[in-house]
Amino acid sequence: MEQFGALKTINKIMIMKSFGNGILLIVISWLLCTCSNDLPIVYQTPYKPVVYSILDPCDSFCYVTLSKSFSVREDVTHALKGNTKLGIDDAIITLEAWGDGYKLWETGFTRYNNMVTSPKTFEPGRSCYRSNKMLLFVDPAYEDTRKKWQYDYFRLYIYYPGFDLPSYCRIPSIKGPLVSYPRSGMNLNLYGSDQSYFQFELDLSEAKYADFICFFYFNEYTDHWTKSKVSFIVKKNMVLIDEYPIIRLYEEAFFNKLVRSFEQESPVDTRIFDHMEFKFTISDEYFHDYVTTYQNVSDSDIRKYSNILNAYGIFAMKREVTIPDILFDRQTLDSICYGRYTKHLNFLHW
Amino acid sequence: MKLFSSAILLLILISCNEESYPPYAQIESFPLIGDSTTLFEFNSDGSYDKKGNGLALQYRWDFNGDLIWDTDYSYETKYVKRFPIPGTYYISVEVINNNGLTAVAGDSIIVFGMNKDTSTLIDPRDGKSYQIVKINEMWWMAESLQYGVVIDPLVVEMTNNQIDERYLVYDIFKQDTFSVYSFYEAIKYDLHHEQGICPDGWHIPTENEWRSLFNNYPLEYAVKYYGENGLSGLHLEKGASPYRWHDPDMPFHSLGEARYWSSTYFTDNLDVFHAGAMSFNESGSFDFGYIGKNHLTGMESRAQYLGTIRCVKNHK
Repeated sequence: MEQFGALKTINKIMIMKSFGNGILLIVISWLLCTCSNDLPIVYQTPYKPVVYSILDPCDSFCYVTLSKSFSVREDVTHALKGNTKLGIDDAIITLEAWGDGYKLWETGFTRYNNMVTSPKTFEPGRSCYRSNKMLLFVDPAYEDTRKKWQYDYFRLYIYYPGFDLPSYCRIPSIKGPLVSYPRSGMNLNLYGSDQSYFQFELDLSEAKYADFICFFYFNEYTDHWTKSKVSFIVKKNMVLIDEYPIIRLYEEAFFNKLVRSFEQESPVDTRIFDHMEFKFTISDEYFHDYVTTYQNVSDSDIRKYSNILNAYGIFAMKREVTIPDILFDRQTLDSICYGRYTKHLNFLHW
Repeated sequence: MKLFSSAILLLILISCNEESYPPYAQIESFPLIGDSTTLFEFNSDGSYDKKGNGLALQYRWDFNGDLIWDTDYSYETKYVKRFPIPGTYYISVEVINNNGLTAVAGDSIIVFGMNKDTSTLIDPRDGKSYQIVKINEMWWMAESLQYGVVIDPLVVEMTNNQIDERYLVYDIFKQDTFSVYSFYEAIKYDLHHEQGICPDGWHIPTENEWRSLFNNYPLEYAVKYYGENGLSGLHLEKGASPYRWHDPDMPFHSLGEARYWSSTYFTDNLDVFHAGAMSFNESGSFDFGYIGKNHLTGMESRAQYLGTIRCVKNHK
């Protein structure tokens, strides 16, 4: 009985404890409910415009692609099949360049059907528009003295029939990177203490994202000689923390990337290296955020990124600089022809 | 248990205390000055609540300073809007947090439309009428002068013959004619005669008067503002202005810019006379420059530069 009585007491204590825990849980829940900020519930209207435009002021034209958002519950494949279903064909688009608080330049856009589409960037079904005017902006980054870039901001806005409010975005302009070393004509050396490097000059308040790409030009022979090229990203999504970032190329990583870029190429009898170009591309914080949002995203984890009012998507700015005519020094060229990484590519020492 | 309850109560008070603070509202307008075609942006991104973010805040907007809210509350921190009627607008944003506490921030923008300070000038000499426009307290002719006897460029040269003369040039793009003058004809062959060929009470603009138009604005905006169909109403043409060449088949050639005479001149170290002119070029920029005597006269087989005239009203 005593044992039973003791058991009852223990039960009582446990009931008290669980009651206390329950109260604590309720109180904490209540606290969380009452004192937390109610975050906005994102609801899906029938559709929102999806805008994609990356502006490079040194390009000839600016392009904008438009489509309608769709619910993931819909059959995506079906939606993508109908080319006109997702596109928005009758939008009125304006791009403006502003300096010192004044609109200094503007252009409208026209539907453009000759877009060379890259499979990931311009999916079928999107409507592509091209600026009516050529950009023709003078780039102070390539002048001897770095004059103030006359455009402070670029604005993109888009009116759609049936939508009351325009999609709108204003982005600050960013200066292009300068090549500190080398201008061109370097004999690239991947070995030893005098290993080659590339150095740039940036404005870190503007540049937040950078890619470094190699364009590798060569001639190849099967039954006749043809010119060809492959390209690969040497460094992607670089974290920019130095005003004068230095990029060094390391033998193993460089050759592995080079070899991978040849995987889609047909086998040939002989190849002869011609030259390389390196392109250093920088982008603004919006592009950085966009890439960061969507990298390593699974189908079940769809996130929405937008820097555009009344739309999904991105309007961002990129700038690039190309270092042309890069060759290899003798030792590195020997490696390409006879080294363990690239020997099977059949490069001849020329 | 008492201690436990007290702790809970204290926790409630501490954790909820922040809700008694109103949010902080901030507004940024872009641009601050525009015209009736400009899309203005109002941005309240800088607003925040006690926790230092604006995620839980809602925003509503008043666009004309009457504090009657023109939008409903929304989580969008930005709003864009055009203002078709010129004037000064006072913009307010009200920010509200979950507890219903609010804060207001305000800003103002200036919208200017087509210059309404316009009138008509009747040239008493020939009864022709010209649109005129007031800019920076000065009245300018909004059309080029068309006064004088039309002479044939193939037969007659402009000379100091007490007759006001002009050449008539056909603009193939506008399919209309306009009048051009030599510099000397424009100033009536008298360097001290500021009025030149303009009507009484008006004169050929000086360099400073031309430059005063452009000093207040970035070049590209000024070109648009003062150019054809620009909001200033001055309607300076960017079209071609001719020079006269010794070519019997084609009396006028074009330099691809519109040239407007000024009354300002100087003589350089080599004793060469230069006259000032304001020009628009085809790419849409303006330049005030000086033209040497050989080009002003067409001497030594050189082309004779001709220009159009916009008169400006004399100061009282």
